[in-house]
Amino acid sequence: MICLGLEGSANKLGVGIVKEDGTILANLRKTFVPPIGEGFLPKETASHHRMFIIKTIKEAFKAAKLGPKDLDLIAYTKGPGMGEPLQSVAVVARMLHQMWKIPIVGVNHCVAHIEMGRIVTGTQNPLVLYVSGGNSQVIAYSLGKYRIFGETIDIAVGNCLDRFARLLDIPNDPSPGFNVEQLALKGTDKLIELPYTVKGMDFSLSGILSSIEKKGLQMLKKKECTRENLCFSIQENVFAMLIEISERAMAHCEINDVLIVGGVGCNQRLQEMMGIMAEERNGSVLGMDQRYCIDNGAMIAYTGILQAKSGSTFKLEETIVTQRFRTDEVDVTWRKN
Amino acid sequence: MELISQGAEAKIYRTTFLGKPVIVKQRFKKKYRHPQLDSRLITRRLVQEARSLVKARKFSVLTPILYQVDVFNHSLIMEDLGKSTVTLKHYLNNNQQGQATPLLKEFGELISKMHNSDLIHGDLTTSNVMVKKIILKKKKENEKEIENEKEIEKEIEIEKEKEQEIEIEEIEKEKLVMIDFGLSFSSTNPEEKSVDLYVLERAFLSTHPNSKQLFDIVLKSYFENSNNKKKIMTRLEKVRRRGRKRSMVG
Repeated sequence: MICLGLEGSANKLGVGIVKEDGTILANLRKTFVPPIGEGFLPKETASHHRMFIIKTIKEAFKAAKLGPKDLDLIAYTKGPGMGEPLQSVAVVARMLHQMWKIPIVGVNHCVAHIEMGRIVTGTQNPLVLYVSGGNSQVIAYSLGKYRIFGETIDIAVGNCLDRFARLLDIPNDPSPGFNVEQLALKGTDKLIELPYTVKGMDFSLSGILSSIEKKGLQMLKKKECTRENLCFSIQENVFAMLIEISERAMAHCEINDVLIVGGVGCNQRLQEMMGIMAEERNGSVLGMDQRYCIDNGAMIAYTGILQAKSGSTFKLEETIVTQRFRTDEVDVTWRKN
Repeated sequence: MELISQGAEAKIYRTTFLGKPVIVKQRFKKKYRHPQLDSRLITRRLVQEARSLVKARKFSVLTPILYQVDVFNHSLIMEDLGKSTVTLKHYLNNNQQGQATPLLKEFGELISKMHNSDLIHGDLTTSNVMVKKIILKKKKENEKEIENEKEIEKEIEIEKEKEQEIEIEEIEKEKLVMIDFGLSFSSTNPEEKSVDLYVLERAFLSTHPNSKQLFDIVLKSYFENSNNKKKIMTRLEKVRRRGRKRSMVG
């Protein structure tokens, strides 16, 4: 079975072509990068996706050396995500489904990240830390679902780092988080105290942003610290919270391997810290690389195959998109306990 | 010192202190954390736990008796609850729901006692409540339950004077003891209290996947004893919906 996967829930447009066994035949991505000091809004993001999607699909076929006749399935991101961008991609998926008369299936974005992680790293049942611009969850598989053990009470980690970058006018190209990470490497000489809020297995990040806005920017003005120090401090603080939450979940579920997925998972410091914690528990962290951590079409295609094979495909009327689609709403029919 | 368990944050040892059997809870450094952040957190949690262990007792919530705080070694020396004491989590996994119901009701009561006095536990899970077996001495005739040894002796003395025969029977009862106050703090805010309950709800649903009913028993008992039922209930609904309603982009 060969599947074409289309992803566009946020500012990354992804087109992937994947085989049943997980072999990636093509995986192209076009990212919408807003100007410095701005975030990406639904309207511009949807425009961006509409502008590039057909061209990118053609390029993907070229890269995979395939044509529409070779496809068995089309998969698209049903949700969660931003409304307009999701819709702009779904429209194309529906069109191709009708044009080429190929079955279609809608996929949960979060589950796709998890399944991509599992197949790439070859792990069966790790604890999953899913951290991106829009999501921050600690997930473990239990009784037919990917259950959320801990999550953010307010904003996601990636969102927090993106907004922090905006406050400090850090560039958005290639991504704000990446630039924060590079600056942090040069700011290790001073750690600024920031709020640390863990509640059971959940955590809160909004206090950190307010603290940066009030205290951090002032300190910067008075030259009591540098931008690099702030980048370093926010990472050390936020990541420590994520590691703590993950460790609690690992102790609770009695799992020793942990998988980090989602855009923030590309951060080397986060991977390093998780690795130190996992090692102390005689476990390991299964790292991902940026081809799969960041939103992409291949993960949608692969998960589409899993869904189609263990269940059914969608009728046209079912091919909706939805902004809110919890990870634990999906029946993971392709995994047996 | 005998190491009996190691959690994510601390090692638990069994030993004796001034002739009494005790537990030593020693927090250790986390290597993944920046040393400054690490020592700040360890000290904060040690102090908060020590304070709350003592405070909670004032509100009729049983906690292990705190004997000593050692800030230098990041450890607390406290009462050993005994080898037959298990966590509520363990108890629920090994007993029928019917048997557990009175304990679940008691749990709800305990949380409301803490919240009524503005003490937020911060990490409510079924692993942080211990089920301790205690022996209750009961007078057979008038069914009066007396826990206190001294009171029993007194009663016996009084009855002896009356030259009446009295029969004492021993019953085994289970009482709940709250532990793990490292994340606790004080707050009058109904939001914090509802988040405290929400954390427990999620802990229940993730540990015992088919046990919404168990949590409902706890919650019902909580609200029956709460001094701010309406506000906290409304808040809890809001907090629950936040997870569902969150815009999950990216």
